[in-house]
Amino acid sequence: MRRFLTLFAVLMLFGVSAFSQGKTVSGTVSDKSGIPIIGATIQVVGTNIGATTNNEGYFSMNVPQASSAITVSNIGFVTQRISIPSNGRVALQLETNTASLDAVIVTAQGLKTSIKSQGVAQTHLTADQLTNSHPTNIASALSGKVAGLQVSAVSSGVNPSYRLILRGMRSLKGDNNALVVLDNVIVPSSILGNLNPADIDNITVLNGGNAAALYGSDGSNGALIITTKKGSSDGKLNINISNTTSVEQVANMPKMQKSFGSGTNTDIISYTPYENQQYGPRFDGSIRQIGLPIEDGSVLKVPYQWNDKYGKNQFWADGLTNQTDISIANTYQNGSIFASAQFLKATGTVPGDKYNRATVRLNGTQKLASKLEMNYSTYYAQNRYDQTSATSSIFNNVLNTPGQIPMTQLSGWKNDPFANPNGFYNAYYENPYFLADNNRSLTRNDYFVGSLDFTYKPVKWFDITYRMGFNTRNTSTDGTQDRFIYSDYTKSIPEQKGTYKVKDVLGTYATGSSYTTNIVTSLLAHAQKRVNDFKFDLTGAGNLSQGPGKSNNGVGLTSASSAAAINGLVVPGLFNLGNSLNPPTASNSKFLQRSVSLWGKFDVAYKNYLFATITGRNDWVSTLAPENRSFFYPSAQISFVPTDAFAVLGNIRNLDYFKVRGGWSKVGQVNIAPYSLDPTYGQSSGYPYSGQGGYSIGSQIVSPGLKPEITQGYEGGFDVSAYKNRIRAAFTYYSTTTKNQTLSTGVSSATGFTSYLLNVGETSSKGIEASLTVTPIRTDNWFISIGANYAYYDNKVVAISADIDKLALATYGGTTGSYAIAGQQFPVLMGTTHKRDSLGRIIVNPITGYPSATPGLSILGRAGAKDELGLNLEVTYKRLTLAATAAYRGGAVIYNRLGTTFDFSGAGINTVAYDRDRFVIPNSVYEDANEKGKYIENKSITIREGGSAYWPQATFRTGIDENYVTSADFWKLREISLTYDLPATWFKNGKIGLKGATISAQGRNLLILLPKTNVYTDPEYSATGSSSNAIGLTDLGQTPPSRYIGGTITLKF
Amino acid sequence: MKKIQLYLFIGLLTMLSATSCKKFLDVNKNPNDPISATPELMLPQSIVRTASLMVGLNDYGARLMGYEANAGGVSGWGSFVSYNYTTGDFASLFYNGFKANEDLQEVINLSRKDSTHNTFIAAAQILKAFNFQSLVDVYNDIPYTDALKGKGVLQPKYDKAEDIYKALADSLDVSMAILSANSTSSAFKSSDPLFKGDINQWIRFANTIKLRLILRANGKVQFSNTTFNSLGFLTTDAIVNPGYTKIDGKQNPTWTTWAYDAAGTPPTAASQRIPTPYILAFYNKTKIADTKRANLVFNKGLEVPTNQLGYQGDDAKKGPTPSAWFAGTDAKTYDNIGILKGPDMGQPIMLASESYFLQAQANLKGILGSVNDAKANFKAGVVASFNYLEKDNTGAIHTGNNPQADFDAYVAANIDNYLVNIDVATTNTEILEAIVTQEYIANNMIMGHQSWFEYLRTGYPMISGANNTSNKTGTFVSITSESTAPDKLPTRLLYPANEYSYNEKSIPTGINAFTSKIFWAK
Repeated sequence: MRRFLTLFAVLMLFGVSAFSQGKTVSGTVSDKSGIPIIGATIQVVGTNIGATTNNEGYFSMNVPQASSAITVSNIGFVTQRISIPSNGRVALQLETNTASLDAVIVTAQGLKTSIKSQGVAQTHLTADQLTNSHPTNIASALSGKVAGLQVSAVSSGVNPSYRLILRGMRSLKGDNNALVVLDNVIVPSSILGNLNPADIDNITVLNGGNAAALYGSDGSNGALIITTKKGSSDGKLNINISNTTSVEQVANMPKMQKSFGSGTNTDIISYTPYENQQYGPRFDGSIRQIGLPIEDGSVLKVPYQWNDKYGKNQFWADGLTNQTDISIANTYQNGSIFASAQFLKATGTVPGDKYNRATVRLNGTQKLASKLEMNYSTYYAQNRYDQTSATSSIFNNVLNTPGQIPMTQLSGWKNDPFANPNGFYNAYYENPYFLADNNRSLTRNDYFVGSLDFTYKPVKWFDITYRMGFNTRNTSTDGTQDRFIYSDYTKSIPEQKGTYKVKDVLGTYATGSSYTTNIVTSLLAHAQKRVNDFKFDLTGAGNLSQGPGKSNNGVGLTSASSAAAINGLVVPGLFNLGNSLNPPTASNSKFLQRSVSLWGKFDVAYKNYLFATITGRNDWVSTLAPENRSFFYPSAQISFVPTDAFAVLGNIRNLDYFKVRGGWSKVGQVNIAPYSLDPTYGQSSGYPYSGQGGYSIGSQIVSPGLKPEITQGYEGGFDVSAYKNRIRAAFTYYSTTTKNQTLSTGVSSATGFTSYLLNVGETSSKGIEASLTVTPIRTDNWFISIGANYAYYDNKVVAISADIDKLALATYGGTTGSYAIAGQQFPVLMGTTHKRDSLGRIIVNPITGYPSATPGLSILGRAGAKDELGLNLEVTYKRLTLAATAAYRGGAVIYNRLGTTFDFSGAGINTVAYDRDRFVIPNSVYEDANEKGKYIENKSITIREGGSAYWPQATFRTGIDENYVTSADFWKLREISLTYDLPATWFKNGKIGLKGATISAQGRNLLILLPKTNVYTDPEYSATGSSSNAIGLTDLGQTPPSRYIGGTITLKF
Repeated sequence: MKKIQLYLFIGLLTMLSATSCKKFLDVNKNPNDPISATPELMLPQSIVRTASLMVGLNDYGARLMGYEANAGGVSGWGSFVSYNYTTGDFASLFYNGFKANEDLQEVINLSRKDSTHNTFIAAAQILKAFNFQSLVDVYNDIPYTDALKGKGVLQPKYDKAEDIYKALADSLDVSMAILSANSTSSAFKSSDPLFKGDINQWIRFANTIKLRLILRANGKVQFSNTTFNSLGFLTTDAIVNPGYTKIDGKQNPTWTTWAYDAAGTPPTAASQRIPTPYILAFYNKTKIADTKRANLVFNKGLEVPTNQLGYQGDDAKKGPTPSAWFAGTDAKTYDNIGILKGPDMGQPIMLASESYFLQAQANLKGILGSVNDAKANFKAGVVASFNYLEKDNTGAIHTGNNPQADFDAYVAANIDNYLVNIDVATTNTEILEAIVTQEYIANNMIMGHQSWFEYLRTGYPMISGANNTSNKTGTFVSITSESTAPDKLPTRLLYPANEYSYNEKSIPTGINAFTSKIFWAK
């Protein structure tokens, strides 16, 4: 079809142009990556005059003198209109029309393919869709936009970490994060937080292992293929300058009680002025002393009531982020160039936390000779963190501050004697302002990502590409804690015996540095041939990699790190290894991994409506034993477009197209860190002592013959579009199993070891991904589009091993935590529950009324979401655009560890559920005194005490984990933005060359809706970080969730 | 011909690339950790690790026996004061015990390669028996025959405690025989931070452990051989000192736990524990007058703050910094004697006093010598206690101290008290009570677990009256005990949660912290 049209246009237009008189317009047309577009149609606006591009994407035509503009169009691309420049020379880059089936996208290994021929689910996102809320981290912009991509901000702070998981988790202990590929270079996912979002041209999300089979070991979790900008889109010099300023504010504070103040006694409640626990008398507004008298005898007195104005909830600062972007793009005869720089400066919600980031990028394409082309992309980013290292103590101390304390008035610890650690009212929790100032962590990260490729195309049907990809990260960290000596007076106060106030802070300094480098060189050869209705594409390639892949779990890279620390400073405030009262400690480590791979891809297309692709890849990976090093994995996919194949379907009114697709794949993943095949020995128990070494055997047993884990699965689905793209829908069902997992399982310590590394375990991952986009209104002035995407996840642990049926992923003290259990969803939370009778009623002690904990652990629910819904709205009226994204996640539970500290201190809202009165544990029973094993419904036995003898007690309350498990469901308004494009007429006569300007206001994380029982925090958080599979646990390390509100101004020159 | 050349060329290229490919990938040699070891490197560490187990074991017994109680100003004591143990309580005793034994097992495995390492095998086996006895005494049935086999047995079955006791005594006999047949070597001497390669000391140590096994078994085990080695029993404290020094990670572990870390920071937990009025009664004349040892053991001697276990009122006494058992002013100024002698002090794993008190009990029971020997051994035991406490960080008696003279003064001050002056004891029961009570005093915050085991087996030291605030010196039982046992004490710990996770099928069922007894318990 496309061929025919092109031919027709050429024939039509030849005659016309031959007879025209006037000026000449010539130039090149390429796609956004600089690849020439053959057969693009150029037409002079308002006439029939036109031309098509040749095999080099070049065109030249005569146009009437009066002609002012041309349009350039090609199937699969967005039609572009530009005015004819005075010299008549243009160089155009057409934007891919993602709504079209014929659109060409970049997939695995930089190969281009049409959406039509894709047999597996993928989502293509353009810059506009990603950056209208002007995020600082591109990961946050992906949230809610792709069915099956779960984006979770697992922490707070100036540069939060994100987990990006496609189709749920597969690997029990290995990495489940999606592979990130930046301009054909595999990069660690930490790059995402250091990427300038404005540089991104588009992202293709390959949901399944199938599409990523070509990426080898790393691709089994799907991939995000990020392509950065190259050249300008209109063939002219374009300069963009923009500035975004946003404010971060803490939202959704854990819910606190506002009725009771300091005290700790049971039964007879009394006020203790220096207490952190809030089991004291009810607030009465009287004036009370807080803390003990300071050295000069003075005391601090406050009204005994909830302090809203200066209280603990006011502790959090407003974070401020300011980012300035500049980019320059141009396209010229033989190439294109894109250069950008960004500077970002941010302060956090924890007072004193600072972050900045500076990035530069230079991308380009260059035609070196008629058959030789060069593509390059270079990116350097550096960031600097200046944060407190005591976040979780600060969070703990602030939240557990009694309500009457004027927290924010106690910030000046250096000068204010009541804020100084000596005079601070609280004998048990240090002043959070002092902690923040005195415990600092400085981190420096420098990233460089570069790629260079040469493509030689000697003949039309054959091309060969040599590519070198490179990424490196260089980090150093400094942790400091200054010396603080408590006064003799402070130490002598009897009430403060045994508290932090008698323990001098001697000061510490720790410094470390590390680098990781990955280099991949590849050679790709590609040939194509048409035979009648068939089109064949064959690609063959080989890669040599040193340290390929992701660094999330320390696997697969060349890296080295060293660290040294001192404990006890001689001179306060001087942080140097030499300034120590004790010998410094030091350590270092090195890793190297290499791999070799050969892969091939064979595509067959029949009549542009039936497509089949098969791939095969063999890897040899150094971390495995020589006999297990080599492994092969294939994939196959098929795509069929009935609306193109059968005229009867193609003619259905209002049906644009219908496509069915299916794929099968097998992908290997090496989840074994270098050097883990042999058990190791190490110095232990303080050895060496005076010249004598002493070894202990490592605590891990290793099974011989470890192999890669294999993910195998299939998917099928369809895409449909109707009413000229006004309704688009896609549906995919997938099912994969991952076998032979490399697991370090726990073992009975009676074996003499604690963990066992072996190939066992099987998980299955099934699910549905569906999306629907409706554009009810599309007129000259109005555009309204509503999109929804939905994912259903069913991730199960099929088996672990014959001996072991559960696996702890992360636990608190070896018990409560996130587990993988055979036959259960992956993962589940386990913890203690109340002892219950056969009817599920809580058994209480017949005398004290207190419940107790089960000795073993029970399953408390699945930690991974079951349903996820993303909603997108875009409304445009003339120059005004409103865009919003909302998301729902449901079906999971979360263990809120921080709840235990709120109950302990009495700060939490739950502790006043019964107004600190004695109460009957709901749904409880007690054992019949006369008949063992018989339980009587408890209506009258109240707990012995309703204050500090119950809530803070581990035995009946804080040690019973189910008390802190809540639903992890949420609704979030993730982002909303309002953008106004200033009318071009305003700039028409401007001498400064301003072509356009945009102003926008945007907000992120504006609203979270949580179930009533979740009085704690954002269930998206994870205490174990972004690379751990142990989800479902939150803790004090994550400060309260915040919202961001900001504005942007963009100027185009 | 041309074709052949081409094939040859391609073949050569393939071979070349195959070999260079192998070279390219052969980079998996560990540059970070060694993958082999020798007995000379394993034994010293295993001995020091065994010594470090004493800290956790002592704490376990010390909490139960009134050596330490909760101090004021801190809440959330949980099972510390309720005895309502969970599978998380003291789980490290299990793990650390087996870990130490695995290292010892590795010494044995590596030493089997040549006969020059026989002494290493014997020493490792003796310490293994020593550690296994502690594990049995804490947990009763534990994995033994299947244990320490790595991937050989992933879910080791639990053996009956009685059978393990018998096997341990047998292995001690074998070890003593090996030692008798071999002489020491310079390699053994330099690898032994316990007895510096002294074969006879190792034999006495093994012999004493065997005595403890037989005595504690309480007649419930049929041992294969109940005779003892003629070299006799320990007459000196068994102290491990690899060269502990005031450097992070290289300090004596007891000092680090109860005094200061290498930087000079006191550990938080240490100041949150203080002695009970019950234990102080054995020093402050309430039961026994013993100012000398009070000054050696406690911060400020008899003035040390005390609290009854479980009392959590506002007026509960707070602990001194760094701890109630530290005699000195700060991390640099201290007395060098008593329990906390310095960061470089050796770590005792068996006190000479225990050896004598065990012999004394064996005398009473007819296991060893005669009843008449009991009194002599009793006296030697008490002297040995003074002796240990009066030793300084170097192991020598600190200037100005004289254990024998102090013992004589002690007897003189308590002349009518049979708990001190054994000569006034009239019955074997009184003698036994005196022995175990003095063992209790000698073990104070050093070997708390041994006191606990002895209490469970003998019922001494005596406790009487209810566990309430008006009976501070009558009993060491927590006033907030949740135990259902008549004496309001627990009977044992629960198996650790990790075992329930990974070895559940083998664990004995129905274990209850208030009713399940260790097999030798009363």
